[in-house]
Amino acid sequence: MKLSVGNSIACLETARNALRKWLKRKKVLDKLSNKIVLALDEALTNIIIHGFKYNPNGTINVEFLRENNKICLIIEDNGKYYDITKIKPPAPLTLMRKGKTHGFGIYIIKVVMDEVKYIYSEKDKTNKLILIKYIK
Amino acid sequence: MAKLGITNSVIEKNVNLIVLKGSLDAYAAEELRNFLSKLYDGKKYNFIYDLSGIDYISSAGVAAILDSYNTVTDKNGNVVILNPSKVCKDVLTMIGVTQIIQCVSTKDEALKFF
Repeated sequence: MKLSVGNSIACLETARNALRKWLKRKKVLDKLSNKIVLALDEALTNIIIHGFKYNPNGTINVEFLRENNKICLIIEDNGKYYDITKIKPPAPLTLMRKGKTHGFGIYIIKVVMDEVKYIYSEKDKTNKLILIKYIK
Repeated sequence: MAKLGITNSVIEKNVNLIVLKGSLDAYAAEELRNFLSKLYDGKKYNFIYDLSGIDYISSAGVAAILDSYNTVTDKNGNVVILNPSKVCKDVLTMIGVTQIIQCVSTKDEALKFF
């Protein structure tokens, strides 16, 4: 399934609902589905806020795939280069104890998903984030 | 866009019981922040967040709650989380919020922290 997500945090719910419905059709249990939806939301929020700095003139395309025993979320955008695979986020508790309240999104993505891949196209100037979750 | 219901009432010990319902994502977190800023203007710094009706929360929603915790504790106030939904509790536990902010099951337990 493919969809274009509006480049605004107001559009996050639409993307979450689309993924939730698609996961239900693929018979993914709610507990796992909730985690995958959370990972998508965190990735999209990062793109909108950091990749586009809230600039609404950007495109975000998402594709959901089921391949045998894995769910793949492919998120492509033309925002700022941002390879989250290179980021090693500290544990949120460490940040919170220092009074920090943000920066937990990448941590959540990496905890929830089994594989996180990133491809940057120099030619198209696009980021492609691939989030993979293995399911039974 | 995410719909967040916010109901506020003042209960014992002059604590604000803030009942949140719906989804607390990055969009709704802004609504919560705007609401809280009015409480700060009124010098209100003691909050109980009832999260039993939250069906979704992301790190942005958690950040809004944590920011309120940092703001009020600076003013000798406090924040307690009351009866988070299962979905909510899973995220709060994953991030470790429950080790920073008290999380209880009943209003009476919550009031003990004020």
